Amino acid sequence: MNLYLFGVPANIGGASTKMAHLIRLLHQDFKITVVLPEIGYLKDKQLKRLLEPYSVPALMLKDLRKKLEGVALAICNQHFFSSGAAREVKARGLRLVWSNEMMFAFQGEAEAAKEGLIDRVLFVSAFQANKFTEMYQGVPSFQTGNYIDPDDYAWRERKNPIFTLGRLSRDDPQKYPLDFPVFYEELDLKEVRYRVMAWSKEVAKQYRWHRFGPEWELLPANKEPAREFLYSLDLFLYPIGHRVKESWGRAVVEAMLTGCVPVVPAGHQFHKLLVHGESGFICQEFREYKACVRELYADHPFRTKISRQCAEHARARLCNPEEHRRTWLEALSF
Amino acid sequence: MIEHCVRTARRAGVFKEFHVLCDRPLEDCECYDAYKLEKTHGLFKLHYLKVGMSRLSFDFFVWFDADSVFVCNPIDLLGPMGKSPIHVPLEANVSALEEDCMWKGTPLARLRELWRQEGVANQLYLSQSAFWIIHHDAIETVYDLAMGFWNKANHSGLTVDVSAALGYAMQMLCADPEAHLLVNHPDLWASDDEGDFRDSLPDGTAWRWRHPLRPDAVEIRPSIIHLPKSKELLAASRMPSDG
Repeated sequence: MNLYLFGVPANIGGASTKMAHLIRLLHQDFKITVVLPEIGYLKDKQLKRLLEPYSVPALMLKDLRKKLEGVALAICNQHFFSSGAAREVKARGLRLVWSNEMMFAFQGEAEAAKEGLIDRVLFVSAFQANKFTEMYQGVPSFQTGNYIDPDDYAWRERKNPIFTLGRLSRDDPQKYPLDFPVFYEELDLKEVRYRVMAWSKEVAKQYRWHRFGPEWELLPANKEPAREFLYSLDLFLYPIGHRVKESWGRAVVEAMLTGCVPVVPAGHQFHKLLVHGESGFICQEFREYKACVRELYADHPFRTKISRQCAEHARARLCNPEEHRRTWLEALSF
Repeated sequence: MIEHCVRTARRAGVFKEFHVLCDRPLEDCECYDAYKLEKTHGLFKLHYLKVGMSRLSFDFFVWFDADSVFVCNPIDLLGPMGKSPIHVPLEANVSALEEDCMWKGTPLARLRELWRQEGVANQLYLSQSAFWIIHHDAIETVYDLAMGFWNKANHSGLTVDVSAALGYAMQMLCADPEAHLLVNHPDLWASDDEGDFRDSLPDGTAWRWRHPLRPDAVEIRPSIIHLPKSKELLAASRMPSDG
């Protein structure tokens, strides 16, 4: 069956990485074509290197035949509806499968759902599905979870000369709690570095009252590949802004795969991703975070034990390729 | 009262500037016309913060109510802030209170519910608005948080005063509330809500402070004491100024 994947697969950025990993997972089951949003990507060497091993062609929408058979899959594609691409896909006779990934709707998404343009909507979690219940009333849905190729995030033992705490997320100020730098610094660790990706002017503005010392390294989005960034951390400490609800937690699972122990807040979906005290830590309030981080900081054998358990859990339970392959075959069959 | 307060501060050795909202010029103070301030719910403190303090070029501002006295010069005034951009002394943990009660005219159960709903994840603490310290660059953030909370409460039919709104901002910005507990800084500030100094002003000796909602009392010896129950005594007091 033909599968037209709308977007730009890459090794950087959540949705792009997901597409790259799906190509690896599904290239033997589907005849995959990548449909790019801009002509400039046709000359992208990295994209070419990524697609060539799987014989996946990349085209522009205008270059596709007027009548097609198969499925179009768009993942977290910001302009997919507002650009008119969704309508053109339907006009060509393709089944349209849409996966939003976020906890908010994109421009034109609600109208497309209402109009019947979307044949199936995919959700990464029941939590996310619940958020969109009203918008997707009457639209068939499927819960795929999130696939991360575990081979891209091999476990690595870590013991930085200076203990390094950090986090990886979008550079959206709302992703950060209002007390973020205080939160890290009040942990009272003796010698520590903080590495944060992604940082931006908007995020920095939120903390203009704070003086970030030399122990802080604040990186813009995609400054480093996620895997390399995660390898540089001893601990993934991820307090989240009070206005945000995580639909899944891609960075947390990537961290787990690499062996970077996640310490995350309660009230999201993390209890579905890890077992508290075994493959990471879920904390309600600051004093719990502090106790947990200080124990992991002081006890390297304990940290290494949890680190191995994180990776094993993520590999076996969250990123099992065969299970995901079956799920996706079902999600994309009509 | 504020003149008396400033005199006690000078006598204790405080040499910093005092900026005062008042209706007439006051000796030894930077004075601002306060004729038209709306005092409902105490929100004028936040408005003053935004339109007044934000224009002054200091790194930190300390607010205290006029009915306060200094019994000595605070040794480490900014120490309690830790890494936080604000310090409001947190007085009583009300997370585990089983029986509902009114606090400054607000049902406590609803206040706690609203704090939780608006993102306070830690233990919940009551605090006042009679004394607080803020970093200049956090003024806008604190104002927006506090007023946003006040408006949210108001829209949901809950009338809260400035202390609940300021307490919300404090608890959203401090990370570790335990570092800001009044009892952890017993030499800085306390409010005599029980009226221990109704008959005679404090002289700097230690006293047993108790929050009205808590049974336990602790011995403290704060440098700055808020005296809401001693207003007559303060008004009658005529401490001669130094010099």
